[in-house]
Amino acid sequence: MIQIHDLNFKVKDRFLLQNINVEINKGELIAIVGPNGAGKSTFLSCLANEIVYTTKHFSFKDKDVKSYKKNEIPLHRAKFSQHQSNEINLKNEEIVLMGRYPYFKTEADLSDLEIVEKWMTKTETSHLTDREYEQLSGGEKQRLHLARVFAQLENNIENKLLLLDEPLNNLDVAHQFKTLHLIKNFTQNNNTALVVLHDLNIASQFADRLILMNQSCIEMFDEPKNVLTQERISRVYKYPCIITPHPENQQPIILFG
Amino acid sequence: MKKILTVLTLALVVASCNKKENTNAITDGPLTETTVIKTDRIISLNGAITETLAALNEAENIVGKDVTSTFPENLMATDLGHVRSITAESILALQPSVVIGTSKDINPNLNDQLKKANISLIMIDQEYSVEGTKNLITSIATKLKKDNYQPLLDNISTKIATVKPFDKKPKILFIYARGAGNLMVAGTGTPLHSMIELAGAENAAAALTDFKPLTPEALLTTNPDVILMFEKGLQSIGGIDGLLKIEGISTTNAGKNKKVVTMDGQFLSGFGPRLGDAVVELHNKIK
Amino acid sequence: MKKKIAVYKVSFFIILLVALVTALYLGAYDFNHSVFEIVRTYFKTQTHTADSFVLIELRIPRILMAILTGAALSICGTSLQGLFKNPLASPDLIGITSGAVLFAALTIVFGSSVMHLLPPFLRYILLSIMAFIGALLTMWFVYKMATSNGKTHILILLLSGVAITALTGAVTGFLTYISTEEELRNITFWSLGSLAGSNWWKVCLVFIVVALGSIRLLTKGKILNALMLGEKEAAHLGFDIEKTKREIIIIASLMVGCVVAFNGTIGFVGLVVPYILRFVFNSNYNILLPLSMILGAVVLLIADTISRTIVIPAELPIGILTAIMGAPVFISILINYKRKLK
Repeated sequence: MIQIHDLNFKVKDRFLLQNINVEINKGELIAIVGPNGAGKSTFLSCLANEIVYTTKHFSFKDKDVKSYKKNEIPLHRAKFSQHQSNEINLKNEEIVLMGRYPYFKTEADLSDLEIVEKWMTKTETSHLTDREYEQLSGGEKQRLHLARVFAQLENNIENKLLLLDEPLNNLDVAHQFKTLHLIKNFTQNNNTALVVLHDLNIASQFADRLILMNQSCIEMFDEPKNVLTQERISRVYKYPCIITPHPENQQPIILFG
Repeated sequence: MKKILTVLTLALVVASCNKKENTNAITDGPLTETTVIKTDRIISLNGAITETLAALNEAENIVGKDVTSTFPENLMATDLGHVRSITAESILALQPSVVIGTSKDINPNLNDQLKKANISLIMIDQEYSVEGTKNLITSIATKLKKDNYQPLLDNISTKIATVKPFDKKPKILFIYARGAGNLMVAGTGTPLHSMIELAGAENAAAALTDFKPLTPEALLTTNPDVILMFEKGLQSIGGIDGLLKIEGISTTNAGKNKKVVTMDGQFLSGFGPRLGDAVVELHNKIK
Repeated sequence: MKKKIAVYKVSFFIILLVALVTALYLGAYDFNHSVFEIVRTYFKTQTHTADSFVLIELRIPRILMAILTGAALSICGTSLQGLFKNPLASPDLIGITSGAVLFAALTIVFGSSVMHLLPPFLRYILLSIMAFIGALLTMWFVYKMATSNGKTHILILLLSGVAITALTGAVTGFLTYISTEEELRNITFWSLGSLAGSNWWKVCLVFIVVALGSIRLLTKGKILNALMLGEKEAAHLGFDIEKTKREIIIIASLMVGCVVAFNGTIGFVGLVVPYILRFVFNSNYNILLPLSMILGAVVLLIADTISRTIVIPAELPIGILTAIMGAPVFISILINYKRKLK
């Protein structure tokens, strides 16, 4: 679904991404992990075409990514960003409705409104319709934007791509797991999701494969049980840790310290 | 959007029908272009013009005047305000047969609008001199086909001839005042300069051109013997006492001798038929 | 919600129509017949009477000019506020009105020889183009100063506007001081505005510019909404952000320039009309853009009608009226702003 060969990104004379090579399949949930400054968000930005990078090859669904038209690609790909606007002077449903902007010219369809309602229900933000956006908590704003991003990709196209940059920040535990289930559901319908996560354990539980990044390179790209070894994690994160299997499903659990 | 379209259609339709020549009118009559100027309803947009019309016995026909038309005092005409801000509508509301004004002061837009309405327009190039005033009187009289203007011209010449030159020319400084914060002096190129010279004196501010702000340094260097002001101007700064309080005035000859001359604004600088009388009065007051 | 919008649209239209008809009847000149009769007689006879001249050559063009100017300033104000993501960004505050005025004045003074050779319509086009260039240069300068990385620094934005307004005020004042060019009018015209010189040529030109510009700007509702998420996010929804920014800058400069070149500075409309609408509709640009046009037309038509009827036979400069209406609203914007900062 995505094939990238030798992608580099630098700012002034410093490389923020070096020699990135990945091949991502349909229906995968891939977690991107690594210490601060490793290049996780930058990599996601490249995938979302937010910054200008150089690469030998970047194909998306077997077509060169640059060949997609500007108004075509939002139907295939959406991104949830880490930092959202603090102040948006619109009603909350209108904010979620923006995810449907690629689908209508001037007036939203009934189907668009139904999709908005559906995703607000799934992210448990329906009860917020009468509140002002500015007064919402960080977590509530986050869930609103998640609803928007999911609503954007609600269509009949096969093999869509969802990019999420730390979507679980500010969410309480229950909402974190609910969100992860939503993402997992998404990928089980033959779509792909790339999620930047801080929490290695969550990544280990939910991801099909892990991209471990370190100092602008990909350290390793494989299944969690192969990537998450004591030696590797301690070295990359520069902190001692212990790895132990999860009592129920045997996935690796990392305990730092 | 729809509103814009309907308005446009209306506009285009009306505009397209507007290609014909317009014509001049009174109330319901068609606006026809005329070569004969009727004088039954005159609008005068300049004080000197108004005075001239009154002197030519047309005072009762003046239906509209501007703010500077203060003489004759009992004129029964609508005051239309400053010539620069008069609108075509207020002029047309008076149904004038002719509008007379000065070409320098009239607003070009207004000029166009009145021309389009085929209102008879007489625009005089007013010059602030004896010749200029005589030309103004002559132009108006001939355009309105009045023959009785020669006495007006003679009056001016005679009166000015009576002014005997001073042995020593006094230095006059004209100060324009609208409240103590707004003080200007008149250099060359102003009607005041011409008046001062006609009265046989010297303009203390002759080194400057046009109206310039008053400065204490200028007062010291020019050191006028007489200060000349409009009556209203002196009032606005609190009379002679107020004038003396202004920085630099009390150090001048005029200030020390309290030699302040005031005259009515329109009389002094209007350059109309009363020019001769104004020059004589100014000369006498300066003595 | 849809119903609410429709209700507002219809009510504004009705108010506009009422204001329009009222304005036809009000003025220094009293008609001898009804408006309808005057127009009908004119079409029949194809010649003007005093009544029909005043109505058709003076009053109707002026009313149309007020409607077009009000609509133009409002929709430009709304669009600029979306572009800069700040409700204080309006043509007069950020200085583009002054830039347009400056270039219009310069054109009149230094281009007088050329202008006199041209027929009226071309003269007006030349003036509009120069005012457009003035507005565009100012707009470009202000934009470059005040934005970086897609964020607007509101302080720099407003200060740039202050600086430009001061500069152009000084230069324009100087030009009126030294110039004998009668066309230049006086400083009051440029700083406070007047619709008294409106005629059919000007109205047609302004109509073309405003109609074309508005049609384009009315399509920007979704993009301006999306911009509130941030430029990157808006791009993810499929919008070409850079192209949109350029379009808005050019169209707003063109519309403001044209309108200001003929009528002088008319302030506050571009600030106040969108602000009032935001109270009811939030910053939903899909709704704000069309409604601001209608409300702006209403506001300026009412202001102009008052300006030419309240001190007959003279006229109050229209800038005074828009300031009287606008200043209190501006003050309330500031109070609100301060409340938010706490």
